[in-house]
Amino acid sequence: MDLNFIVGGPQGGGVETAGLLAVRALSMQGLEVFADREYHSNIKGKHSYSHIRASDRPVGSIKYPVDFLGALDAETMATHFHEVRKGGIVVHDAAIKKRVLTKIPSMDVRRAERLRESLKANGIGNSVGELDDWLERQGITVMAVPFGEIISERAGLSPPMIERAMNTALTSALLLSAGVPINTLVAAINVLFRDKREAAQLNAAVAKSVGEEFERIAVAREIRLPRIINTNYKKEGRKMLVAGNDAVAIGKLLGGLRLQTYYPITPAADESFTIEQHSELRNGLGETIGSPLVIQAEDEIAAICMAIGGALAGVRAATCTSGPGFSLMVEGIGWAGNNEVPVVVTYYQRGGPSTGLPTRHSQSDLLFSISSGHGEFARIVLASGSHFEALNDAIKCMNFAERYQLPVIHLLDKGIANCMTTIAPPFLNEIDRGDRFRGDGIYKRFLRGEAVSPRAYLGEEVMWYTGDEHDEIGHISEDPFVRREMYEKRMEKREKILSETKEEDKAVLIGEPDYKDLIITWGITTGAAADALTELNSFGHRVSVLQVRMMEPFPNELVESYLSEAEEVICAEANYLGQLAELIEWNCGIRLEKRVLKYTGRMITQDEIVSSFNRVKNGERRITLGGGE
Amino acid sequence: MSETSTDWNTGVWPDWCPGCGNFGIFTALKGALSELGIDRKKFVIVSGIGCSGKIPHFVNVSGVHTLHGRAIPFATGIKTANPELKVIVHGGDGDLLGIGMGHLVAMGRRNPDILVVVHNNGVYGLTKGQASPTLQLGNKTKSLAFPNINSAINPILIGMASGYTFLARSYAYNIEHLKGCLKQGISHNGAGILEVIQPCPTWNNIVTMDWIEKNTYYLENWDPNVKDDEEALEKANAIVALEHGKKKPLGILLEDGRKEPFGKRIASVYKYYATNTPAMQRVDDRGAALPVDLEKTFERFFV
Amino acid sequence: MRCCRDCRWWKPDYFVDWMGECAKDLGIHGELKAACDKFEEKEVGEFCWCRDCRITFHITEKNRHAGHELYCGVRVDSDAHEYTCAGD
Repeated sequence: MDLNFIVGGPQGGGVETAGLLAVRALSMQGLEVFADREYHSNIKGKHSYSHIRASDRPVGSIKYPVDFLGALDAETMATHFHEVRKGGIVVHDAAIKKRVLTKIPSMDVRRAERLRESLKANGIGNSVGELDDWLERQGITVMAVPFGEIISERAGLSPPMIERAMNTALTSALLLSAGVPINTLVAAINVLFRDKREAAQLNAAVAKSVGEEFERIAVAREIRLPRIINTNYKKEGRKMLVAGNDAVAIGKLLGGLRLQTYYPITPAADESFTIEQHSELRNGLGETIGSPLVIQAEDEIAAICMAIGGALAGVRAATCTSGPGFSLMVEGIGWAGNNEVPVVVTYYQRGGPSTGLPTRHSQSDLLFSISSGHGEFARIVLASGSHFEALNDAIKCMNFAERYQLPVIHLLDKGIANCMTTIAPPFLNEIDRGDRFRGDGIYKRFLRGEAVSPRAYLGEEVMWYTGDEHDEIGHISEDPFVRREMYEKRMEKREKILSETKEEDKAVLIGEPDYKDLIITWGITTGAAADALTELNSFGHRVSVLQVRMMEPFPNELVESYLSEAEEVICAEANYLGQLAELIEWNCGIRLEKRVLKYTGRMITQDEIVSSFNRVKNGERRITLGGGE
Repeated sequence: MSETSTDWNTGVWPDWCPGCGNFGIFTALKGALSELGIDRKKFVIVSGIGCSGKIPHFVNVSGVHTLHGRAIPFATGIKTANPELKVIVHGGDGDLLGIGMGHLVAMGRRNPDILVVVHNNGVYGLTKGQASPTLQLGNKTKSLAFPNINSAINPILIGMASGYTFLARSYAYNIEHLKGCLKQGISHNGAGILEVIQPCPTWNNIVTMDWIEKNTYYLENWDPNVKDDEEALEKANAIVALEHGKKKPLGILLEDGRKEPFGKRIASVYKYYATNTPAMQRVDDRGAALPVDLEKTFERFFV
Repeated sequence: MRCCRDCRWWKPDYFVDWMGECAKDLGIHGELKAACDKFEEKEVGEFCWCRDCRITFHITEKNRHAGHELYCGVRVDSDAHEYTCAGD
């Protein structure tokens, strides 16, 4: 069972709720869900959509072409009609049939140009209705449903509510035709609108009436709805449905975060919202046993500095940001490096440079995150490849930070931040607060002899910190001997980290260990590569995936050992240079020529991995991808 | 606990130029700490960059010598995480009013219990005397090639507009006056600015001791306290008038105890904070995670 | 023997150990001179200069400088900035 569908509409016009309803209903049906949210840097009116995938097996990517397309407006039709597979179903409100496809003011000028060319080349007319006819001729079923009438006549809603219920109507039609039972749908509506009883009832009524009417239309037109979801897939144990921002928030909360500072930025800010909304941690008796504080700072510089301040006071502190904010945080990270401060920065990459693509995916800050800041200092950069990893890594990052007393960058991307997926609940980890000063003798914050000195918090002892080079007490020193000693003390942490860290936190092999070819990747692209394995190996290949997790200090021996076993190595990532490939060459001295790259602001998809692998096998070296809208 | 002010030295050599106003601030600060009976472990000096930024290394309490302009957010993080600590900020005029001005303004909005001591000498000393934001228009100090083409800003008025609840000005070489202002400012429960006019004998040949004596006066018959909004408005107008006078007033200009400090504001929305500050909260149970009930805490994420 | 070291007007040079300035006649002199007509017994003011510690300090901290060479002030070349390479 593998279902892919898109539901789209104007931003702010219910498309968000439509997507949430769909993923909730599908996951309540026991399915594994992976849903991509694509939206413009805009509040209302520009095109926005969810690409939702549901499967009976865990999935970590999306796949084209899609089985269904649900369109709330003409722009969705114009944008996505070419992405529906033959035999697929397109559903939209009958009222948009007359809309002119070539006159959509919110559409990007270049996108509109491409649309005109495509319509012309395929001999399609200008209206949605004419597009429908063409789609039908291509073997795609189009169902233009009079949702407005159904909502008003059957569910009894009056005009302003009709518009608002359109998303529920459309989503219900899609889900019911895929086979989701109406009971599951109503249950999902009740969860989604749990704080708004009236809205829940209205939407449930809409779903029911759409279900019946849709059925009637299908019968009348002799359409066999696919209903590929034909059972409840629920297994033992409850699942969680989270976006990456939520996953990290949950991880931080479980990992002992007590101070989170941030400055609003996409796609990171939702993480702080989630922390605020769950700021009272409860035990089994319902008692509050912890409550992290969230502070909105005046800018990202203040955010990192406040977090460092909190860490000096002995509090597990973190901040979260994206590229533009991280650029501002760099001076603070350098200070934390020099002063051996355990602070965690959750870094959600988005399209750069500068403001770039604020709401779109990218993996182009790998080299920046490992080398940001002047001077040399030890840091850990840990990149998660899935939501489950992101949650557990958020806990690990805080442990690493305190164990090694250094800044830790938890590197994520927009794909993880905004995609929603089902995960198993986390297991409660160990908390490692590192070596603590026990109060014997005069306190020296940067005691010589070990890479990590026992730590006391502000308030426990008298101590000094400075961004200047300093002696073991923390006072400024420019003495060459002190300089060398302190420099080495900080840098030697890198070896200590590599020698103590488990392999699973450095790099993970997905697939069979007796591979012939290897796809090497990181971040959310891992999901697409892993999902592609079954298909690739069914063609007779023997390919596995190597996901690199620890980017700094780089586990070169481990990566090298995996690479040396492979005949063909392909590096797949969402940037122009092939930054992981460059990093591997830098650290391992191995040049990876075969690079599959994508920098359109959209994620690499499962089908793109499959086709790229085949192209590489046919001799191509550098492949740049362009799928998705 | 009563220590003489000499016990507050770390023994690190204060490497300021001879005659530097910072020696006065250093002396007055040690006196204030001594007279307030400060617990050394519970007191943190957070400083910025430059000559003034070195002060924590010389005073025997905890010191955090931070980044240029960023002492305030560091201090805010420390104070918020552990409100038991007494936190003050020391920075120069270039540090706090130039590169760090945004943080100075933001601190006024929050009103944390932190005193900001602005070492105001009109120049960037440690980089060899460039014009600072408080240097008057048309002034040409030693190292400037041309007279200053920027107007000066007034930290007291900036502080007032930003919502600071304690405003004072003193003079680096008047130890008793400065010590009084420091004690009052440290004891004030809210955000404070204490501007200290200090000569830079090396670079600023305009704001000399002589100039300061001619261009300042000590406030007399002035009550800095305000009781209600009406009085606050009157006081604000009066401070604006004073600050636009030919000479600068020295003394405590404003002490407004009516506004809730940041800690109280946090406690009003985070119920747990009042009795369990972040620094007091446990995060582990002897190395294991706390027994957080996932479904009770994260109910809405469960399917 | 009374000498400049004990004189109110004598300011040792900050940089050069054996030089100083007579603030009364503003002359710069090498070595210490024997007391002259301008001699005034040292009566240290609020801030003093300690030649041993090489810092300015407030008179209230005098006990930290017991046995040190104390002066009313210190002489610094006013053009020092031309040849200093301070930095931060």
